Amino acid sequence: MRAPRCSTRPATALLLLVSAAIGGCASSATPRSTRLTVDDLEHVSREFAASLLASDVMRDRGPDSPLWVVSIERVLNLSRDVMSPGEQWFVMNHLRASLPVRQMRQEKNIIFVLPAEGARRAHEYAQQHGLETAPLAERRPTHVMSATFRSAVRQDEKGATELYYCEFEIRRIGDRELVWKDDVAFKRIARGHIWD
Amino acid sequence: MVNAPTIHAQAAPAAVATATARRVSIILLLGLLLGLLLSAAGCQDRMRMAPTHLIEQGEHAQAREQVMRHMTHDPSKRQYLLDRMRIGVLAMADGQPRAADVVFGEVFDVLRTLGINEDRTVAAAVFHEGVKFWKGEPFEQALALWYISAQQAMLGRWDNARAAAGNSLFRLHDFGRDPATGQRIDTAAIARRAAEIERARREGREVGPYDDGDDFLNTGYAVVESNFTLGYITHALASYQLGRDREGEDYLAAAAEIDPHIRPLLRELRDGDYNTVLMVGYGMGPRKVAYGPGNALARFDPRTASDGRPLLAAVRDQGGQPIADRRVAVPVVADVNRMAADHRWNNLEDVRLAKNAVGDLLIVGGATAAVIGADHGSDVAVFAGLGAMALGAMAKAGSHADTRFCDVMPQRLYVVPVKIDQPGQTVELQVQGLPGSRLILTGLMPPANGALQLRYVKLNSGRGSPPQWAVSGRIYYSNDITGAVPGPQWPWLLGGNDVRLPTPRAVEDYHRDGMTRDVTYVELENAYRAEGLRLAVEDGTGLPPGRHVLEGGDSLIPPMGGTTGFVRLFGQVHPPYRIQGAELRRLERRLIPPDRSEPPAVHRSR
Repeated sequence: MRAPRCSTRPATALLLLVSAAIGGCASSATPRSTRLTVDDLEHVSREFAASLLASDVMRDRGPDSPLWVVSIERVLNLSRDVMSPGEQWFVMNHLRASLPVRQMRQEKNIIFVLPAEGARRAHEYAQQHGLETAPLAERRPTHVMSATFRSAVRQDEKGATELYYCEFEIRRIGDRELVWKDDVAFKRIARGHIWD
Repeated sequence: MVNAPTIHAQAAPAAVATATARRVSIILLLGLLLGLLLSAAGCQDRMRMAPTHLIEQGEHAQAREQVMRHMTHDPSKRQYLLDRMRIGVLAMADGQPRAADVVFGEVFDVLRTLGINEDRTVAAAVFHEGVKFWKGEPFEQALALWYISAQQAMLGRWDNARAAAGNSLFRLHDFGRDPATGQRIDTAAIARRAAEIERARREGREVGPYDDGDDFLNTGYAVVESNFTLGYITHALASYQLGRDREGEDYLAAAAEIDPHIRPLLRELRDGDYNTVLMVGYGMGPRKVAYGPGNALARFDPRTASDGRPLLAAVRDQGGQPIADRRVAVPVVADVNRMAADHRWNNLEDVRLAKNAVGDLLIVGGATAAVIGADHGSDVAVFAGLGAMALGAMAKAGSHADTRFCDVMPQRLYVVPVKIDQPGQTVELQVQGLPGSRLILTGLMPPANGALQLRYVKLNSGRGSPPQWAVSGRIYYSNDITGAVPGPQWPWLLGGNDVRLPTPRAVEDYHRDGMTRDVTYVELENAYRAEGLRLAVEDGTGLPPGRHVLEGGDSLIPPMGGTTGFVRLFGQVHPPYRIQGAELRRLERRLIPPDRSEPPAVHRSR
């Protein structure tokens, strides 16, 4: 009986098996982080622009109402996320640059202004992300608009859910009377082991 | 009838020879394969250590340059985050918090991302821990997040400092104490327990509620709150700065619960009269080494010993005299050696991958199957055996623990509250009994508007006397932090002693002291840029700057006042600058007439 000839095909299969095992397989669709994204910041600013336009204080105003010059402060970050100064200013500047808010200048005699430092940082952030920015106006402010971001997280071995709560308000300079306030909340979910 | 015995007797020698040749060839192939695969165990990526001697002598800019020179720019490489963590920590040690923004941003992003290694877990578990993306042990992650918190605080971003500090206080897995000794269990004991459970399961015995060793590792712990005192303290400081006093008190109370011996310090932080907090690092953090069967386990061995020595701090007036009632001695708040040795601060991946016993068993089983298969002419058995052996050998090669670690962390950290209420005041720091650590901190200014200022200071830890610059207590160069030093103002690049950036204010001083008024700050800035100098953190690739021009580098970006980088740079006299480019040389010739060898202001002052 002749000795059987060793085939190279099983060896090749073994190498392929090894290669495949080393390479692993990637999953690209699962969200891995609960950090704020550019989309979140845009969403928040759009929501608040619409809310402000529909508010009682805006309904009562017209083009001949006393001029309001609203100075915008950067977002106060009380969330778990680290927000760059550019991100903190971008939210406010994006709100200021939104169409409904721009229309308030003509229809409600309200303008929103950024401090010089904030305008610069917002401009830099928008450039980095290919987004539009608004020009800076210069007037003596009568009101100030501020925003606060908070978050709470629930984590287990398999993932995390983070609830963001964003609060905006406008106060009159001087007596600090609250003239408008609103909030929006949204969740971000991430899957994956906390301990890799 | 065939004479079977005769035919068989005639055929036997050839069959035996064939089987023998087959067995020999298989064994040779096994040996070759085993040799190649086991040699891979010695060929794992070696970590290039940061230059310890430079760090111990406070030469953080040089150290940073060396690390940046060899850093990986490929996000898929295991070393990616480790490089950025090291660069950020060295930038902080050098007083360059703004320069660390980009790298720390990446570090924070990755540390907040879940399941990074989830898709690589199978491959890593079977073959090589090096397949996995390095995120650091939990204590390294907590320290990195703390550094980000300190960096944000140094930049006055207290809301972000609070967020990062909060992230550093993640919960820990506690496997409790060894019932036999009552001591906190270590990773070696956890590994033994897991192996015992594995063996018991294989032998069909019940051992507690766990299905196997992995089940024990995944569920056999209690989730406990962090004991990272430094994180609680930093969070508290940030809370106070944001007007959240009750939150601040809660975090200080948590720190007091963990470390009762620091309660006097915590009372000072809560009630004391201070406007500056120094976070002071000393020594070199522990080194990660492999040990145990097949070097499959990892532990951290101290490089700087833990000794519990307090840090002495004294505020001095502009004349260098100690101010009464402004001396403190503060205890160690974070001992990185202790953290690294505590299983709660280890991720136990080395334990999970300690497969030497299993690897050995596979190797033995695989070889046996291959030889038997060869003897019986079975290709299937041969290659199944080869496959099992390959897996076993590769598992053995991959079971060597990865010893990569963040080698630029300090061994210990202190927190020092002081009051700076006059320009020119300095702070003398020294670890008790270690004269080589002595540092006279210059460049601190009273903070504006009653705010708190925070500085990270890395003390030298070399032997013997401290370098002269560390204790000179002087500022030899006009700079953008403390302003002009006495005397005529002239750019150092053109022979003077002023290394301020080319701003209108600086150029006005130059005009006053003899520079022709047709030289504008724009022209000066253009000449500096043409010289190849970096004038802003935003110039360049997002990486921190290298060495300052005073030290032979290409950066004019000053370190923050009240940091080791500031003291090293401005506390000693450096060799004069040699102009490289044509534009600055032309400017020099315009400003210094050929019959003089010095610039006008310096000439006048003599």
